[in-house]
Amino acid sequence: MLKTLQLSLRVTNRNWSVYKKSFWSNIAPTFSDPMFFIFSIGLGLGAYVSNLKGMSYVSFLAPGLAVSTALFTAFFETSYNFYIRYTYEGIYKAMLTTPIGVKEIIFGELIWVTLKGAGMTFGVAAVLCLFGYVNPQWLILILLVGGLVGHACGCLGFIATSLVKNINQFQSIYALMISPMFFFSGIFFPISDLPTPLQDLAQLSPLYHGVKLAQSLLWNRISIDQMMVHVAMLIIFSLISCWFAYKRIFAMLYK
Amino acid sequence: MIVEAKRVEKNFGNLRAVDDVSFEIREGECFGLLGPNGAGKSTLISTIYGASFRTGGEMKVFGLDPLTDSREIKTRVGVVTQDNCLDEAMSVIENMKVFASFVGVPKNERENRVNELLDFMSLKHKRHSRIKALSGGMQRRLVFVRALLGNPELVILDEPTTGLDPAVRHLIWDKINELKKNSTTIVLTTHYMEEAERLCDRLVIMDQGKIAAVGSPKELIQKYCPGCVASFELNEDLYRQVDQICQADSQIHLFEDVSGIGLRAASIERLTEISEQLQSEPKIIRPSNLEDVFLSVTGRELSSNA
Repeated sequence: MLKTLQLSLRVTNRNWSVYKKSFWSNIAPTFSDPMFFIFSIGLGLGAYVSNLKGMSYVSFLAPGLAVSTALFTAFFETSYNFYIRYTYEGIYKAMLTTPIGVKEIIFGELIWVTLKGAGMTFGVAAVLCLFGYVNPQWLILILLVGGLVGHACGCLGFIATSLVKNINQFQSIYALMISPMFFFSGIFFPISDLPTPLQDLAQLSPLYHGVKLAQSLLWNRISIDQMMVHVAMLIIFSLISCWFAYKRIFAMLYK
Repeated sequence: MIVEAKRVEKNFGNLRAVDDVSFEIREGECFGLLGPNGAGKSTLISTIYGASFRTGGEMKVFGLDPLTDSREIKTRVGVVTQDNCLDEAMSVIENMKVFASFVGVPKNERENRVNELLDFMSLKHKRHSRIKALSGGMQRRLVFVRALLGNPELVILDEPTTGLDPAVRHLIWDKINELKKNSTTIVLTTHYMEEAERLCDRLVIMDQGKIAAVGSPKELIQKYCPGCVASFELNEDLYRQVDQICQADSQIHLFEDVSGIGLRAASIERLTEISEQLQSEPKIIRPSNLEDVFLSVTGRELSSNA
């Protein structure tokens, strides 16, 4: 078990070594996307929305946008990036000639997206705190939210990878699963404004629970009971999707 | 024994890629797996180090089963993969240091180990290059460096020289010979008969997932195609005459190949006599080689009386 963890961390470290080589160009889009939303939708459209849940629209948007970075960074990593490393670059084929096995590849990649999700969400949230849009009191706990969402969405990316027949098919999965998740997880407006069936559907989105948690933390509206429910939902979602992802990627890499 | 395989099978759905294959690999030998593309060579070797699982039969590598102990096996095996599979996101040295971490070289020894091997494969001057900036031959040599990082007892070479020019091929053969001198056990897959003849102590010829013949290159030539071969331009008259000669003398074998008519006899003198009799100059007269064995045992030689 210890050996598995050690080897998995070496896979994670490989990704970090590559990532840090072009750190600024890698990190730029992760930050620029939510910032563009903040400036265009938050400040632009927000000028027409005077008050939402007792705050400015830009403050309403901020926690959700911070968490959405975990969704995108994790999903892209285990879908497009993993697929390219597997199909075109053959990196896993080379790794599998070393003591690293399929299990370590899967765990190593999941540790990577969990850490990346945590780091990115924290970074964006910290910048939004600096702008004064949200409250920094519980900022440190955003790391956990970002990590949980990153892990869950990384598993979704793995499942997508195991389903596609070619790289273009990721676009369909993005359009039909990731985009709706982004728009209907309570980032842009409260889910309670949606018809009941759609509200129920949103409960199945890991991003929704992450957004709720981030909002509680960054708006400083702490309700332990409600937050525990969202944490539990995220953990359950992570475990189930991880089990599926593991099964499917294992079968893909070990034939 | 380093590897013992008994009646190994590998199926991909309905396709049987490896069919009832048994062989043994002894310590310190260079063992060849020869065969055309799609013969099942790469599939078979990936079951040796556990990157792929066999669907039938038994296999022991260092006395361990690759199905359950592949991690232990892989700490003692180095593999030159058929595709280079180099990590293009990193430079030569970064690439190798990451792989050194995978095979468990301690952090403070990685730099030295990598440099030592880059030197061995004459690549030290390229240590800071990007992978894409390396020529095909250099990339191949770098894959050797990667395979040797863990100081393996068994080195698996999956078509190590396919697609390389003769100069690089000879350089790689030299390096393989150096490994042999150090008593490293080597498994080599190739479809180049010359490569197998030069490097392998023993080999199996595989065709359509099965073993068609086993032995040392000399034994195989002696057993299946002793003597010499003369090639003639294809010509129907000549073919008829040769056919008659073969009918009269069972020691002479006629076969067709892509370039014309092939004739095999016990000696060059006998072949010269026949060509004088035929009043036709052969394109080439040469000793039989593994290619003749391969064509003969796989039934691709269309022999008239063999």
